[in-house]
This record gives sequence, C-alpha cells and structure tokens, in this order.
Amino acid sequence: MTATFVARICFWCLASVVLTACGTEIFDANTKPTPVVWNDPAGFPPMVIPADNPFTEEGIALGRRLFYDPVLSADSSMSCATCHIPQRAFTDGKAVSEGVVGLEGTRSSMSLVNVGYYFTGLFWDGRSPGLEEQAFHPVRDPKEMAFNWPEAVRRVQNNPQYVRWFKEAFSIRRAGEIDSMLIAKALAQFERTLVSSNARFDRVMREEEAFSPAEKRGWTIFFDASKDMSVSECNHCHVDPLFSDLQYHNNGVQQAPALEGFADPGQGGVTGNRFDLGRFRVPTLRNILLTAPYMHDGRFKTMDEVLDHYASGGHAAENLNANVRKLYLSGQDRADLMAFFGTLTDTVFLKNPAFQNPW
Amino acid sequence: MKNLIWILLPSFLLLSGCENENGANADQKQDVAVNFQASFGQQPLVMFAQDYAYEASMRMKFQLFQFYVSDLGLLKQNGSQTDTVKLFDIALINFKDVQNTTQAAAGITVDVKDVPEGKYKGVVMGLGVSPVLNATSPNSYTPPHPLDGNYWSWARGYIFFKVEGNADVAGDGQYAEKLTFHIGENQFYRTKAFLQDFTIDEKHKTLSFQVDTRRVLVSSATEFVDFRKVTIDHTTDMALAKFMADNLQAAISMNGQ
Repeated sequence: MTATFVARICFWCLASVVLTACGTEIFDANTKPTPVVWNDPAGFPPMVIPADNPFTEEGIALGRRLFYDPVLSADSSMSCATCHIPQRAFTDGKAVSEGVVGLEGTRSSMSLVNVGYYFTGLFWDGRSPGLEEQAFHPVRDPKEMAFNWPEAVRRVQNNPQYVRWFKEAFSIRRAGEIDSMLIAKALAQFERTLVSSNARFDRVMREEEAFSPAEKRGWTIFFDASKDMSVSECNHCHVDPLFSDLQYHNNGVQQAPALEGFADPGQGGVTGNRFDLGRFRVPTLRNILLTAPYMHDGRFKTMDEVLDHYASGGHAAENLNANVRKLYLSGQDRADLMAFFGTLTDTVFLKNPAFQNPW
Repeated sequence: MKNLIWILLPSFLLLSGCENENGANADQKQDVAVNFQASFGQQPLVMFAQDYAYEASMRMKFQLFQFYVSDLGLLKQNGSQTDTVKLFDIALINFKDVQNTTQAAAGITVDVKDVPEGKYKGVVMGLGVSPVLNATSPNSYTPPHPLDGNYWSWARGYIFFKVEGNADVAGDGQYAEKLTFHIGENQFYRTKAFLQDFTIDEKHKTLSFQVDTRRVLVSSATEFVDFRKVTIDHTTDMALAKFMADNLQAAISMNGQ
C-alpha cells in the first residue's frame, strides 16, 4: 500500500462525508406523491390551487408537521400553531401576537379558516399575494419567529425524518433540494385544507336544519334582508359563504385628523396609496365567537364592544367605508345578531383530527 | 406588365371573395378595447378627492361607482336588431380605483379578443346582470371573476350597480351623510341599443362609452335622489330602485369613432 493509495482513500472518504453533509446523497427517484382530488363544499367558490403545488397526501401531511413544529423559529420555541391555535379557529386569543424573544407585534393573529379561498392577498394589509409567499414573512420577522431562511432550511435538511417526508411529498433526490420554497409549499397545502363549512349556518343553508326564531331574526338583520326590520350593514363586507368580501376597508376603528395620521397604515403601507391608509382586510366571521379579541389590533375584547363600535358609525375619515354608519339596533336586535353569530361556530372544523398537532 | 396583371387579378378576386356581409375580410379579427369613462355632469368622476355640487345646494363625494354590463353585442350592418356579434357575457365596470383625473380620462377598459372586422350599425348591452346569469351563484365561477363579491345570497341575485359616497346636506363641509345605494333584481335589469355606424378594423379598435353619474341620481330639477330624505337603499324601495335603474339606462351614451 503506497502513500499515494492511502491518500486517495482518505480523499474519497473525506469527500463522501463532505458531499453527504452537503445533501448530495442520491435517493431513489421512483417515489411519487399521492394526488388528492379536492372537492369544494356546497356553496363555496372553486378554490384556486396553484398548478405547481397541487394537493398530495404526503404534501398535506408534511405541511401539518411543519405547521406544528417549532423548527422554523430562531430558538425553536415557536411554531405557526403558536399564533394559530385550532381551538381558537386558528387565532391565538391575544390582542397582538408575541414573538420568540417576547417582542409584541402590532397586529392580531388572523384566523386561517378557509384561507385557501383568499385570492386577494393575505395578512391584514394584503402584503402577501398567496399562501406560498405568505410563509416567508413570519419566519424572518423579528417580532415573530425571528429566524432566517438559510438556517431554517439547514435545520430541516439535517433532520433525517424531514428529508424522508420531503422525498415522499416532492420527489426530491437529495436533502440539498429541500429549500424554503418547498417548505412554503408544504405549509400552503396543509393550510388550504383548513376549510370550515359545517357550521349550523351551513346546515341550514343545505336545508338539513332550521334556524331558531332568534337566529332567523339575526340572519335577517345581518343581511339587511327585510325593510320591516333593523339593518346592521354587516353583509356589505362580510359576504357569505366566506363571510368576507376579501377586500380592504376602513371600518372606522382608528381616529386621526387625516389619513396620514393613522397609527397603523394598513393596506396603504403596502400600496402607497393614501386612500388605502387605515384599510384592512375584512376578516371572516366564521367561528367569530371563538376569535376574540377583535379588529387588527385586538382593541375590542368582546362582540358587544364590536357591535357598540359599528352602532356608533365609527370614526370619520375620508375613506371611511360608506356602509359603516350609525346603527339603530335594539337590545333584542343585538341579542338576535349574537344568536346568528353563534350559528357560524363550526365544531366539526374545530375538532377535525386532520387539523390537530401530529407530534 | 402583362404578367403582373395575371398575378394581381386572381389575388384581388381571392381577397374579394373573403369579404363578409359587413364589407370586411371575414377572417380578419381585431382585439377591441371597450372603454367606459365616467363623469359627474361635465366633470370627470374621481373617487374621494373630488366633491361635486348636487341638487338643493347639497354637495357630494363618491367612494364607489360600479355597474355590470351584460351581453354586449355589435349589431351587424345588414342584420336584424338581434343579429349580433357578442363581445362578452358579463363585465364589471368598477370606478373604485379612479382617484385622479388622469385615471378618470383613461376610464375602465374591457379588452375583447378576436372581434370580426367589419362595418356595424350599433351596439346593444344589458345594464345589470342578465336574468340568465342572475339565476347563477358565485360558486359557479372560478375566481377572480366579474361576478365575485356582489351577490346577495338572501335575495339569490347580484347587485347590478352600486353608488356609495358621502353627502354634505348641511352645507358645513363635513360630508357627514353616508350614501349607499345598491340596486339589483331582474325587474331592474335594463337593455340599451346605441344605433350608430362604426367600423372595426386595424385602425378602429376601440368602442368608447360615457356614463354620467349625475344622471344616475337626477332626472330633472324636481326629480332626484334627495339625500336629505334618503341615504341608503338595498332595493327595498322599489320606486327608488326603478328610478335609479331607469336613470342609469339614460346616463350611458356611446362616443363616435
């Protein structure tokens, strides 16, 4: 055995270790994920599913694991589910969310209920065009997961379980192919499955059940459906079946002498258009009784406070939505509206085992 | 020279044979822009920033003006009133993002592909959602779609047009009255024909229309939506809904080429 031969052996051993660490191990390329045929619930519009990220059983399962895994936060203390808790309809019950180092954010955690149907932008201010892009924000936000994507990707690449699951979900051939985009795609697949369509409201619409008298009256007031009853103007923005028109409005919660003075610029901070200042995406009302506190900054602790706000007509502003106007609701009207809001609670959704923590 | 005639003559005959009844090449098609500009009287319609003098010394501002156009068709030169080339089933003409005079001048455009070249004698359109489409629900359409977001599930129909804004009825400059007029239901669907000759060819690819929002609210010095008395309607006051639907029909005109 010559010195040259030994040197060659050493070189190849070293090279193999280095290459393996770099994720160049080649897998069997025959693995194909199992397609999932998506069926939209009755009455819902067709969900827009990106052609480059179709539903697969393995992709959804992987997304669910990532959603509940703190691996994507700087100190491994926080996962997506920290701020999006299933039992709270995927909100966190706080006025504003708290990040890994205890820093408070400025906005309340938005519900992920039916988020797959939102095609007009995500977040309160619409800064993200869709679910695949959305996942990039909280990971690198210093007030949320406070991490960076290269490190987060490396953590996932170094976890043999995840490498196997990514291989099954996306037919990758080596660990090094796991990247932030694949992580985002898996998360998006899982999040698109978070569909709530089995509330009492839905069952009544499907004519499987009937509203109680109070719920029916609340329904009529909510939809301004009778000229002989009070109106609430809710339905202009909270359009069923999603109970959001997916648009951005100023609903009069912020007070300032001019649009530029709003504490939170909302959509205007993204678009640069002054008439978008103070506008926020209309949140869904599905499971609304479980998602307190309310509004973009969680300023209202109860639905009663929310109704008080809308009854007042909101704070005047150039772009205050014209449908936010003084209301004349009696105590009975409000009680009936609350009864109707109760019909939007979907316990089947909240307890769906497919949405719970898999770890 | 003699040879040239023998070449040109068949070519001429071939091309002539391709002309359709509208006097153009049947195979030639153009991408056409159907443009709508909105005004308030003589002033361009601008959301938020612009205020307008209204009846009875009131003033108003707009936040939203939108309406549906259904079944827009071109009347063939030699055809009957129903013999049309349909350009589209439905379009939402929405001025919500028209926030300055430049945007107002540009208007809202619906691009239509592959419109046959030729001479036409007019345009027909429906104002609102046609009864056929009004019987469908938004879950029939993959978003984004013109019929998104304007559906009354409780009435099982679409909101044909919306006027939203603010009125200053007290003359104090506060614009404290909020205006919300949403009109729907089949009985308020209107059709309109614009009978005027025009051509679609490579030099004429735009059809332009003007809508006067003042005319939507005002029909005469004594007949107008009086914001001192009414600031909101969701097609619950049928007389008001009819008044506004008739007015919208009268408010639209077609510009010459």
